[in-house]
Amino acid sequence: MMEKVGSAIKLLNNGDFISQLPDEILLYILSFVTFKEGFRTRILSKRWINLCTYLACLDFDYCTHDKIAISRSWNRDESEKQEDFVRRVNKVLQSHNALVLDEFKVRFELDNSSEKDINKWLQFAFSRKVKRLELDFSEQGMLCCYRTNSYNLACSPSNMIGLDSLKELSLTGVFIFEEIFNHLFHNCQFLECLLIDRCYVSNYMEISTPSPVLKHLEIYSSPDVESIIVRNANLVSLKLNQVQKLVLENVPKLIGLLVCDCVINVVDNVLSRLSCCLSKLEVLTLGIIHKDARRLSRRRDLPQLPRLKQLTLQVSGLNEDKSLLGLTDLIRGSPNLGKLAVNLRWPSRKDENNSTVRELEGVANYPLRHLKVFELTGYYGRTSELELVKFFSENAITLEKIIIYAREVPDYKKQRRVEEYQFVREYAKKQLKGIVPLQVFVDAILLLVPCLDSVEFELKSNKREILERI
Amino acid sequence: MASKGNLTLKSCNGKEFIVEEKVAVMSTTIKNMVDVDDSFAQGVIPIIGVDGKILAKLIEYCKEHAEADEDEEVKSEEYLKKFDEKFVDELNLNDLYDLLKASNYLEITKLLNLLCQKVASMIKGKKPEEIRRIFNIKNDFTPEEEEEINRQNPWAF
Repeated sequence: MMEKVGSAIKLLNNGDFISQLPDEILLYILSFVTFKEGFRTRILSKRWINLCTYLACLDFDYCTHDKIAISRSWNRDESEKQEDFVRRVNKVLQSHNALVLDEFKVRFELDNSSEKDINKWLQFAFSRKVKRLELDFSEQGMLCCYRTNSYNLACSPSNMIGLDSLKELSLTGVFIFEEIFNHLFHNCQFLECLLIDRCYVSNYMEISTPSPVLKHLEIYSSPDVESIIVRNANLVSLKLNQVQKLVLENVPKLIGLLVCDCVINVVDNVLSRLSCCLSKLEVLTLGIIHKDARRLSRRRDLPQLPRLKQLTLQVSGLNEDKSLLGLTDLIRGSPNLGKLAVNLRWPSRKDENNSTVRELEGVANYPLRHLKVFELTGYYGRTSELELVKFFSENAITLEKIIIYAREVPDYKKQRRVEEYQFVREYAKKQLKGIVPLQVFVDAILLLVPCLDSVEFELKSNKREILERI
Repeated sequence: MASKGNLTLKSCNGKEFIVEEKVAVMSTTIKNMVDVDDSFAQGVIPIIGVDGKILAKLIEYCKEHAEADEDEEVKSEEYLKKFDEKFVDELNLNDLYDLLKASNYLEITKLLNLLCQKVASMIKGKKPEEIRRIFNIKNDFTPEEEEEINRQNPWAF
């Protein structure tokens, strides 16, 4: 209950007004800081000590560990680190009093040896009607797969009670049997977002009518899945790789699609599989191989994407500085495109100097009437990159902005990164001056350099240093 | 008495404010009062525990937002964002607390949200000693107790 506010209360306290606020307001305030920061307020005074046990969002994150804690435990072996982490989580949960949870997140390299504890955590979360659940047990920095001893969600079907409240579920680096997946999926009636990343899911996954409210689905690198069937669903967005395993049927509301595979022959192998939804798509991200880009211009059967507003092309397989202009053919069928982003993924280091000096190639002009923003990521001043910039500054008559991000410099020493970025920036300014028309050039945000001081970067380098010392 | 479409709000120290109904009903509490009992809409609505200074602030905030809700073109999202920023920046700690309590009592969700975020931003990234200093929080633990809490703490800080 709200206490009566008035002068009487002011007389009672001695300047510490914040502690006089009712619990509900203090908890609301703490909902805007991280779990770790919220938890830390217990040390402030006796008024605060129990408050954090009522926080509705629990986030046990690898990164929320202090750096000191990481370095302290870095020398210990994996299982000790894991036990240590599990102990910490258990300790918090033992004294946690919140009756309802909005969020429960665990991100740490846990394997099946912690199975019993993890099951208890899930029970804890589900019994408190958790709305967002995230388990990320993947090995840090490992992009490929689950481990053989991954945590096995299959062992604990009895945990799966109280799934009704779940709106977002995110599983990474977890082992899920088909029947458990089905059980889970069919019992989460109100699930809106589902993410499955680097999980072992046996056989096949079928996402269909049982969850009519499911809007966002992401499935990445779960190699043992034979097929991913999405049919009769109200999905709004779908993100996946392994598009070759996808069966897509009757998804009338799908407007956003991200396919991050880089498959040869994108038209026949990727776009043809998505044909049922292409005419409605508004946002599309597509992986594409450099060689393909050149083949595109020869094709007469490129798909029409009449509603597409935003297209992102992630180009890989780059090793020669050959023309990328073929990419522009993909947008001929997208008259309403407002933003195009091209993300060039040049291989690192040894190919740094493969820029060729040649005349800029051009293609037949055709006016782009809606394109306002062209974004190029991975710029290194190559001829092929310049050609793209030139094409869009000449053909996009409504262009407002050209945004160019410099290529990530694969050198870890901060000073060298800064120097290299500065060099690339100056170089690009000179290069682009004659190519980009003045009115766009003024608006262009040139070479936004990725943030060098980000915490993540520091954390990584910290880890690396420690490793080097060992 | 307020004319039609207006309401009269009276602070705990007797100050009266005549405001448009659409401004006043930004407060769910007032909205419920008016909806349930017609006499409130005619007469004076006492706002218990909120003094004139704070009530004026509340009205200033609600006015901007009510107008923005009505006509998005005149007051854009960007304008509101700037207004919000300026609004919380100009508050001293005492006013901040009083407004927090008042907006909680009157259920002005948007404002409560804004104020809580403001306080949260003052906590973010700060060490406990700093937080205590900013908010005048008296550390009532003995050094032994404090050490014990730190020792028991499952997270290293």
